[in-house]
Amino acid sequence: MDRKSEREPERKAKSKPGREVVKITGIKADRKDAVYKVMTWLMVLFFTVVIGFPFFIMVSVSLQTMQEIYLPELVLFPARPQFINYVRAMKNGNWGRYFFNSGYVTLIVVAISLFINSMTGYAFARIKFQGRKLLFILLLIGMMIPPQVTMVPLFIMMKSFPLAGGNNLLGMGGRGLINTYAGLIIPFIAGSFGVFLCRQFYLSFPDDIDNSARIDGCSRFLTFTRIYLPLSRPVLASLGILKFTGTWNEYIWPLIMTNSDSMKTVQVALTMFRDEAEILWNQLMAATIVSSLVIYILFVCLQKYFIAGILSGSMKE
Amino acid sequence: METRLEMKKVREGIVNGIKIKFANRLMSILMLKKILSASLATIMILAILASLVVFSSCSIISGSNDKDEVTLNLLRLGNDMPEAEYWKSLIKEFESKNPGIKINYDDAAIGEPMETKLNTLFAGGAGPDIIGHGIISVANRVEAGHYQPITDYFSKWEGKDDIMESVLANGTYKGEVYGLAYSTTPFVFAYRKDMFKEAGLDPEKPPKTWDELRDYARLLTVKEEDRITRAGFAFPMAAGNFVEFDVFVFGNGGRFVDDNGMPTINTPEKAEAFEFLKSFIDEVNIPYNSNEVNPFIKGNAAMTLINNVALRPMLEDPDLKDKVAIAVPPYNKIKATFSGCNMLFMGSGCKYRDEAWKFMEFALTKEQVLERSKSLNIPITRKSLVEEFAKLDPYNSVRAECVEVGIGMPRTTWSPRFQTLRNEMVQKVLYSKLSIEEALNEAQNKLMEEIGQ
Amino acid sequence: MRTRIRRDDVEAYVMIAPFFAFFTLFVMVPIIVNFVNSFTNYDLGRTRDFIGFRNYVRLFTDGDFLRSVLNTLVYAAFSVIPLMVLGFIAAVSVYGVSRVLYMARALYIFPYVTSMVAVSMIWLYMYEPTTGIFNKILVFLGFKPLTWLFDEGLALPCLIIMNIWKNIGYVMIIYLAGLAGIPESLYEAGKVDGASRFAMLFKITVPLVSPISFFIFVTTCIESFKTFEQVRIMTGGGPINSTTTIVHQIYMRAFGEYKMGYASAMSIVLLIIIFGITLLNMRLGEEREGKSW
Repeated sequence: MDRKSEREPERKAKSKPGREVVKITGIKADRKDAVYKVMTWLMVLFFTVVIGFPFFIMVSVSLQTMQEIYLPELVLFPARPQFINYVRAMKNGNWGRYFFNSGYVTLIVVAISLFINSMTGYAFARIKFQGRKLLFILLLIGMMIPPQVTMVPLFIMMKSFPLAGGNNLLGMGGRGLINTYAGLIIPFIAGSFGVFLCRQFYLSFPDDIDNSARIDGCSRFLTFTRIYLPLSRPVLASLGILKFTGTWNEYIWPLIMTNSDSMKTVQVALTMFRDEAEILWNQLMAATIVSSLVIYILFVCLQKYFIAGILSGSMKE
Repeated sequence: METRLEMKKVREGIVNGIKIKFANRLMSILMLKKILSASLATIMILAILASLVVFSSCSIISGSNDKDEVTLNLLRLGNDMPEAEYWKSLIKEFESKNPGIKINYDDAAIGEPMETKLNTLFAGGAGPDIIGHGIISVANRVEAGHYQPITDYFSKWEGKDDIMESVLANGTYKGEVYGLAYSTTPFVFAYRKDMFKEAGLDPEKPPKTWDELRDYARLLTVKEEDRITRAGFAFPMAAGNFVEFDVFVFGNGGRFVDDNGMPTINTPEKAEAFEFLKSFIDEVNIPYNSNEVNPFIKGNAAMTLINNVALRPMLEDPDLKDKVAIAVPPYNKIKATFSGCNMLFMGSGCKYRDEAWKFMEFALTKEQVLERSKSLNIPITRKSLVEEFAKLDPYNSVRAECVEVGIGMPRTTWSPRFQTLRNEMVQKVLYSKLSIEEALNEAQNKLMEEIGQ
Repeated sequence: MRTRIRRDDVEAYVMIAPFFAFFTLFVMVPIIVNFVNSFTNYDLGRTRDFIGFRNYVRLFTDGDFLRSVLNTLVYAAFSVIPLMVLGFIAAVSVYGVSRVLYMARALYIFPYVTSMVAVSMIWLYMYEPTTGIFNKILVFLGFKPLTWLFDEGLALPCLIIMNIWKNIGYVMIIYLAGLAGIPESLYEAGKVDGASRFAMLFKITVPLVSPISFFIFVTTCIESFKTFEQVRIMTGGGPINSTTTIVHQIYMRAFGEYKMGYASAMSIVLLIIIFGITLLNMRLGEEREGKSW
């Protein structure tokens, strides 16, 4: 490996100035850049249409009457937008409560995971400790088993959680963490996805950072909190969004763990619109849009971190 | 030449590099240093401890510790809003009449969500005290120890002679009563009167025989060039449970289970039903998934077989008044249809049996049976209410007849597998993947194999 | 030197301890239990007898399972590569400071943040044979309408297309984070050298985001292999098992037919497949970059 990776940058360095810089004049490069710009804008247009169209249909359906939805002809613009669908959907059931439950669970999960995942990811990426490869493989295995088969053992563990929900020290006698927030939160904190993401991100950091920190006598933990965390905004923003989305949209686990209306989450409640008799498409879409809006808002708030690199670059100029 | 040699050397070098690196990696993984093994050992001990706790806690009985107040957990199949509202108000009424008993209502959507939830709860020893579930659950859940018999309560129940025999049989397994029906969901034949008139057919005379069904379906189909824009007869091409096919099998005098509880799939009745469907269905159908919306509901079909409750929104639609009608499905030999049945069961972990029975009894009183048929269009399950039920709605006599001639899913431990294999078989024939005979034999053999194991 | 390493080791263990406490208890223990289950005939009720390798032997004669393995492989192969390419293009295209790009990013993330139930519904609506938009377009262009999800050959591609559509936003977000991590000075240096934007894309961006690419490959691969929800909602595995996936089979066996032991064995086979692919990719990645470990 050493031989090859040494060769790699060398070849790159050679080919770049050799083939392109010398032969291409400034004007040609500018023309190429113009092509590049046009192409990126074309791609933006392409993705906007492809991704936006189903989204448009979704919004449109949420504003239609059921009669319009069932018409043999496709309705793109409802004759009279039925904003009442949103009101109706939110009146069916105790949505304030569902949003609170989902929000509470998700926020705690995201807060805790951001910290412990980035710290663990840092250790895996920057410290060459014994056994890290084996432990990393374990992490990956944790992501590879489908939840459908681990759900039952996990549920049994939650139910026999010691000293919770009327349980004794051995976890017997009561209902454990069933129908509690802790029961909804704990399994999501344990997911290894975030550690993997942070590890990959920290891998591309230059080695100088650690070395100079070491020379300054910084402990690893301090290096992480003082130097790495402030530089981690883009990855923490992505992880925050992804973790938030994953937890917010989880359906099966909250369905199993809760058994009362007051503990229901948004996703469990969304299935109300679909039953044996009919699918209330308009209300379902309305409620889904409201539910996704929460993540949208979060994304809009975090957007500036995704382009942090550009901003810091332009500031220098 | 030289460059080629050089290339070869480089390639060999890379290959060797890979080999060495691989060996190193293996070594480093295998040769765990002290710290690692110590920490691993701790982790393992923790894990073993945890799993011990897990295994020893399998048979814990759930319930409230409060002595003055008994809390019972109820889990119902289906989470549609109108029925959920009904159960909540029923519970409120029950609680006000029975201070000291609290019912914790919960539900899950039909199909995967309900099965996942219930199975996990039971596996975790936290099964509900009262369960509302269908026929297909009976045999497996009794065998797995999820349900407990309620024969002793049933034999003392005031309604024991009043409940319809066919309905009662659904909840009986190996001589014991386990479940009592609170609702039946017969499949009815639905058709559009207005479309009948358009096609010159008598809207008061729905097809009664298979031949009539085929002729009418062809007449009622509307095409735009090659494209069918309105189905004469809508039949699903995908389904979670292909009971629409069962309707034809039952109407031809066939059954899927014999008196000894063994599967009988490859018999002539099924082959005939397939032959009949194949003879015309491609010309008159708009494919749909029965888990989704039937084209009939959308107004894209003139006739179909449909779950009674699924028609409720359509029958209540003022725009469609007098345009939609229902009848007993057309048949070949015997008047029959598919009829599902939801029952109340008592969970095996239920500690407060008397209280649970009290609630079940309350939910099955005549008043409540009538209330359900009024507010939810659910056909009655008690014989003494037949006349009263017929008066409530002009179509109730049809519904009652469908319940009477209705046949449910087999009550055997192989029913879930049967459902999968039957669905596969129907699709294989409809998509002409296999000949009718091959498909029937394949399903029968696979099922026998399953039972043998 | 020895003490240096030891101190590092101890610090590292302390730093990973909080996460591993959760992970071991709530991820590894259930997996171990699942592994044990795969050698039993556990029925989620009373029965849980040790039956050796019988479940595994049976898997290899189970036609439905073998079909599901094939479907899953096709599904993953045709999902992962287009996802990575399209996601990368999307990220590069919308990486910049402008109001339009700002809005474009917010739009692209929409399919990913919307729950699978709603997304499946929308696509069901579009694939509908009579009223669906796809058939309307085909008819408008003068082609014969198709039956999409009801066509044995088309159903799986239909699911794949939806999957790609849904997850572009996911790939884009992670690549955006990766792009943001590349120092602007590198591009400026490239500009000074007179390199075109295309050249810089391939010479600077692609190599520098390769750890991220590895991450995206592994996670999209795992997610594709674990596909279940859209199959359940849109096709139920049909027509004739043409869209059944491994997890769909696991689900049907475990919760539909009460054969948890058998389903556990399936999950172990799934684990072996994904693990093999990941390991292979790690080796390849190492050869190329020497850093993804």
